[in-house]
Amino acid sequence: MRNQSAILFEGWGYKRPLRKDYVVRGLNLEIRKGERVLLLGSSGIGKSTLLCAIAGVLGNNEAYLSGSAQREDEDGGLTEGDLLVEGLHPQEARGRCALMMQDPEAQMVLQRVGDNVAFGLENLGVEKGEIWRRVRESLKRVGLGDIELSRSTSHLSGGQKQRVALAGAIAMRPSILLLDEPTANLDPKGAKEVSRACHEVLKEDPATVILVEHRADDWLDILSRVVILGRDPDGTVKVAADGSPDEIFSNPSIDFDSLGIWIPSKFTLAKLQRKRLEDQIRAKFQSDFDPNFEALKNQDLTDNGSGKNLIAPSVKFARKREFERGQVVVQSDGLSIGYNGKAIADNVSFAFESGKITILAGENGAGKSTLAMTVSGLMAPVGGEVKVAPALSQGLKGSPFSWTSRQLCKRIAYVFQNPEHQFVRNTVLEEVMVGFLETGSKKEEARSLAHSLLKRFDLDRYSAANPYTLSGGEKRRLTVASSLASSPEVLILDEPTFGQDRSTWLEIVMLMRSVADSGVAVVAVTHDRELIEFLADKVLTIGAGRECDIRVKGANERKEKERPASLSPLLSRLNPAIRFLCAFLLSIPLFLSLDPLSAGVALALEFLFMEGCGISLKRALKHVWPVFAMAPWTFLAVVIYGKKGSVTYFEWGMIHVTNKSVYLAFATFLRVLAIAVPAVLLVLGIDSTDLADAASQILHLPERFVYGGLAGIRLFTVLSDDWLQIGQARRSRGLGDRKRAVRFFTQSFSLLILSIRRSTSLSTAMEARGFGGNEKRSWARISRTSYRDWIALSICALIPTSALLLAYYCGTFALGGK
Amino acid sequence: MSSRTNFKWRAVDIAVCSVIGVASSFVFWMADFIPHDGLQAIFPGLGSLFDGLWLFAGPLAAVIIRKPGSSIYAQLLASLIEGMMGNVYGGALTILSGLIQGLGAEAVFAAFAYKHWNVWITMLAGGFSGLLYRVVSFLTDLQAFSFLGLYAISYTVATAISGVVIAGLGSWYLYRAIAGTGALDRFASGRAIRKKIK
Repeated sequence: MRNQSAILFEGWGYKRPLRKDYVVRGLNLEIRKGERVLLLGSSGIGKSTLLCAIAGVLGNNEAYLSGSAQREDEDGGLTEGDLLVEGLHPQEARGRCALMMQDPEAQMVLQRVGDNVAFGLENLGVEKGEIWRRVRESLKRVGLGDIELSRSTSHLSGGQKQRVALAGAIAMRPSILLLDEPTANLDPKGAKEVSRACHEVLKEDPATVILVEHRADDWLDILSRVVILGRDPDGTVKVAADGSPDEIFSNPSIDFDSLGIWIPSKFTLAKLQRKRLEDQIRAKFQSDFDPNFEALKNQDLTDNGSGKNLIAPSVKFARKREFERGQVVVQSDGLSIGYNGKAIADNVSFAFESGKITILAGENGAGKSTLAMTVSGLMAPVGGEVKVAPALSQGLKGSPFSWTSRQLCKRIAYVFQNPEHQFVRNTVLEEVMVGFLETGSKKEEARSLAHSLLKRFDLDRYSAANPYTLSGGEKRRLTVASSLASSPEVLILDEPTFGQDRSTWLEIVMLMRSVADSGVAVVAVTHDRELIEFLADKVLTIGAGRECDIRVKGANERKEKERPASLSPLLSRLNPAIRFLCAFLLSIPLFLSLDPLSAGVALALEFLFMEGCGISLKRALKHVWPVFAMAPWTFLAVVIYGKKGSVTYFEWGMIHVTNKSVYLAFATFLRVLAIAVPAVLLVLGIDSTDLADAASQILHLPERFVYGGLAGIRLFTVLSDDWLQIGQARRSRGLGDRKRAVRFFTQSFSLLILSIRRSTSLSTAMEARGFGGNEKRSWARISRTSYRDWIALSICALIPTSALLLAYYCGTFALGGK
Repeated sequence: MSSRTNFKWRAVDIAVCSVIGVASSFVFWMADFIPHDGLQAIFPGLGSLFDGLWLFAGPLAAVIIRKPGSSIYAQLLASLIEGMMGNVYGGALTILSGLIQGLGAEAVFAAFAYKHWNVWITMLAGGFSGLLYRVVSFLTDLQAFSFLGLYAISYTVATAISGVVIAGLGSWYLYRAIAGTGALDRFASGRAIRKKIK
């Protein structure tokens, strides 16, 4: 019986760190070998938790292996019950399971495409020749057969990244493939690519598959079983429905709506579901005024003993607006959009109206966000103007880009795709207060206004919580709430429904409708078909095609520029580890003596050596000028505070200028140069992947740390985009006028948090590829040393030695500057 | 905190420690542009008041990760990248300094058997890291000054103070701020803070 099952949960449960309740509890579920299972259930029911548990990346080893009823793991999570993967504990079965996750970025471990696919194979200890055979084969199976293995992952589209992740997963030849919403973060084109690739792969592969996906339409033909999870009132997670796709989706007794499930459109039940949705939204649409909020307003007024009307002056969606519905608030005037002064579209024409929802639709990379950001004053127009109606500009001249951050936030707000780019405060309440404070409210007033706004968004109970700790849907609601606090007339949302389940989706749709009904011009950048269908008052399509409303010039593919590994072609052929050793050999021995002769001779020889490597004196100086900028100060410090000699030239307080201090200053000056110059030139341009390979293979440093560090370096290069967006988000929220230093520090902190979060999910992706186990890794790339390296090392040892010997024979040698 | 301390590094420990190292390297590199020796010439010890900016990666990583070696790893990685970006001190010396600074902080946490984590120990670690680094520097690149002279002593004391304040106190409060966001919930260090808040 057990031999037949691929996965077996028996009374299994897991509680995340710091949570009161179990995510999953008391689950009994068996999945047999070769089954293709779609796992459904409302958001928060623990589908991802289950996949992580099966993949063996939840908590740490001991928790699974100890026999006790409840085991705490090092993550602070609590596990109970049993889980067997092919009869083994999940961690022992690592490598048999491959996990593909939602976020494409979080699964790119290394810089180059080929290395990424090879990463899991290295962790499994697969031999080198076999690694590259499997890498090519897997890339071909996911439809990326033509891609250069050396291509940088940062230049791939989302769909391509997901396919690289899939290739990395199948290269490990897993018997169980776990797909956790593989297309949730992709545009329709990317989603198609990925689901097609999965189809291709699964056609031949006998692997057991578990898929989590909110929209099953594209996957029906490869599925053999659908499991719907539900929750009992006591918190136990149970199988609410189990059967073939046809049985499940034709069963009218299942409450798909409250489970947050979209019924695939080929089933008749789907039409009914759609009808219900329409009715729900229409009901909202027809109410011109949100009755809930009116009620809240009154309640607030009675709460406040002073009897002063606190809300009316600041919260515009409750007061009579300056515009009638349908008035143009922003439009274009010969506008060209683009970045770095290069236009991607000319003669852009649009008009956004108050109280209406305009959708900007089009493929990824078509320029939707560029347009939206230009309109919202976060990017400069390349030409022409974003024209603002007088009622909105209220006397301000020029395009929104020329306004200050404070002026901007009162008029146009931008809600970013990633809510975490936007958070600026430590509590939910303060987060919303920012908008009120920046538009002139007093602290107490802002506090009570924020509370009422939070109530409206059903977030008031979290007012003391940290924004980062909310769920995905709640975070999204909070960013909308905090943008509305400064009562903008235009609200622009970037992909508001990305990666949300049906319930959250509906929540967001309702929210957008009610904001528009209050008179705000709402603009959404999206490719969500349902969102367009249910919400759009007007659709503007952007793309390269003729039929598009806004036509963009064919975006040219980013060219890969091969970065030279050194200023010198000779040096770039050396092993990176040897280059570091050379830098050490050249500089460290010079500390033996502090005298002008040894330092000067070494410096001269080093420049000769550089010349020999093809780096001319002029080029060398161009790269090391900061060293020359600092050295005179060092010189001065030694002259006045250095060791005292027999002849004193000048004396004042602590300052003693003596014959010896001047002599030592010369020596130090030269030695600073002799130590810094070659070291800088030798290591400039080293590729971090090559260095990591060399560090583990030549220097035998611990591999887990070497490659962990390498992944960290790659992650940080990705973060430059985040930095830009965090800055724009701050401007949009009215905080962009602060002092530069303040802006810099708060923005840095946000970036640090974001990078820690990213690295945490990256570590899960790395573990899912077998990283961190105790098995011996193999190497996909061999780091070699050749005769050149030995010559370089000898020269680098000879230079300081001869300089020091010369000083010794000339009698200037001074051990430690004696 | 937790029932028993596990000294084995998890993948998430390595990943987060690496990111702390990489992020710190940018701060190290920017601190290289402070006219250190110029300020020293104006008044001994003035320049080294900023030295803590070069020392904080180790203590910060240690209080977050709480595993043996985290100070050395983070500090070494940070200075390695700082050196590779190119600075006025030269790669080799930068990496050597990073190793010594990391060792200094590590020694303090090791002395408390990686069991006690509080602001005082972190300040001690930051201070000792600075002290060790500065003493070694008078044996290497600062040989032109007499080892026990007034200049060297004021210099060393200033570095140690900066270590205590920036790398110790600063790291501790930075850690608390990070933990408050929930980003460290998978770490015992993060849960210790969040439990108090909730």
